Amino acid sequence: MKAEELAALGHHKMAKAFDIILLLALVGFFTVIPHVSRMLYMGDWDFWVDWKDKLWWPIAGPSAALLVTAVGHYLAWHYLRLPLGATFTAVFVLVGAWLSRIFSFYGLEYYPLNFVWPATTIPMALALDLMLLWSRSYLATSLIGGFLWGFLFYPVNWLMLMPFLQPVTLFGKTFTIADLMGYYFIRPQTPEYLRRIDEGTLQAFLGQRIWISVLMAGITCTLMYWVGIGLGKVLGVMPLRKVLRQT
Amino acid sequence: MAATSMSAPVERQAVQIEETKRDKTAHGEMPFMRFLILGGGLGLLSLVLIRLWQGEWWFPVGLDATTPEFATYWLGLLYVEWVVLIAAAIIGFTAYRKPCSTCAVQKSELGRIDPEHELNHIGKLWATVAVAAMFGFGVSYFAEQDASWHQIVVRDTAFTPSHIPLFFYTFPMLIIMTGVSSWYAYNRLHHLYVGEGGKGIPLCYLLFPAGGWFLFANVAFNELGHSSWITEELFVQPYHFPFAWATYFFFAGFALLFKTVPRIFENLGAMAQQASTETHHTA
Repeated sequence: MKAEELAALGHHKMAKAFDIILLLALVGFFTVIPHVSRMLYMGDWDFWVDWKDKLWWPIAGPSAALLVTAVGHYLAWHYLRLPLGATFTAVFVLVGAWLSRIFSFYGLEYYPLNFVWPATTIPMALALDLMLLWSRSYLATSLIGGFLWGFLFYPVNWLMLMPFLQPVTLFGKTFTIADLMGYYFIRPQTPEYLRRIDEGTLQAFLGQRIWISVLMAGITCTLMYWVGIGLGKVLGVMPLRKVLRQT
Repeated sequence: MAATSMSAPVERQAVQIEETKRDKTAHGEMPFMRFLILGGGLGLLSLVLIRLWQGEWWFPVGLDATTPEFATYWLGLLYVEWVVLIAAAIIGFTAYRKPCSTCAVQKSELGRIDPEHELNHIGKLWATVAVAAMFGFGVSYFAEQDASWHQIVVRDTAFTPSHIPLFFYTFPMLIIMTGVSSWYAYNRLHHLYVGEGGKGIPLCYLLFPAGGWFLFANVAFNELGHSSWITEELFVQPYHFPFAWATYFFFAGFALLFKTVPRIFENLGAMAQQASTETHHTA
């Protein structure tokens, strides 16, 4: 069938109905899969502002978020030739996370929203999709787009985190505002271990420490991109052709 | 003259198609958009009602599983969910337990399935996947809600106010809806996956519902782990990772959908051609 004929069929009433259903299915599954994946691999860092540290969050956060975003990025390109999959996934996972923060964390348990905001990955997803659009190469996208995904995660989210890292003195002790909020909103799982890490050898690097974490995140995400592509290939594309023969 | 002689078989075929379409309404199925609106609407309504119930009884009677009020309000909700699940499973699997009789009539009389009729089947398959995706949305919402609840109350039961909609409603509903999708494809559109007269079970039929099943299977491991070794309070912990792995199986749903895409265009093309032939004949 020629491209013009295909385009003409796209205006058919039924074709529009199929577009709507596909969009609903994509929204549903590209909310649940990345959202569940993200909450189970980086959940505590993503839920609470006092968990957002300088060692684990900048590495675990983008790596967990990229894993399934890369699948969306791959499937959209493979099936639809649309360089929008990563952005679509990043947007809807954030919608899912905000719905949960508003209607559960705030709506049911009354945690203030500025204590439970989720990290964003939309700017990095745009970079990932743009890299694929320009290069048409998964290798180039993994090396540049994947690296940028990990490298930019902390700087992008730092704009939101910055106010909570301001020092405050109370009862002769100095905390960050995030820590102080954590003391007021007592939870069974508080990030005591983060403070132990702060006493570790990484502290010796002083101002460089975040850049070391961010560099490591870039490298991890370069590799994690391929895990996502593999996952999409094995579970999203390969079953299209495989038929189990009845004996 | 040539046009008149050519139009006779076309006209006969058009009459036959109309007759089989009438037959379709006798044995027919619900149009796919109506199914989507009805199925999706009822599913969404159930999720909203559960959330409203939580808002009302979350703190007043949800903190202590040993109280009679807890049994009334939260276990009551659980039993209602089970009734809905059983009803959905029975309706979903019995409604599509046999191949479509209209398709069989059309194949024997016309030698092929009417494109519009087959498109309705494909649309229905897509709609079942979309309804399943909506329950997936519910899974992600209630799963994160569970994380927030365990920061408030140390668990004293597996049937907590957040587990009741998550483990015992949205997880099983995902198994049912993804299973219905594969079941529908098997009984209505199997020829698209294995070819006319082909045999075998496409992998995507199995992998798609496997996601829901693995989610539910990990409930057993998760509950065992939390009741024996590590409490729930740390959400990023090893018992929870298999939940994430289970969701990856839902990517097989895209194989289930996209396998039908070439046929959608073929059928739309055939319908457009049929319409233009009828217009030409009328003129």
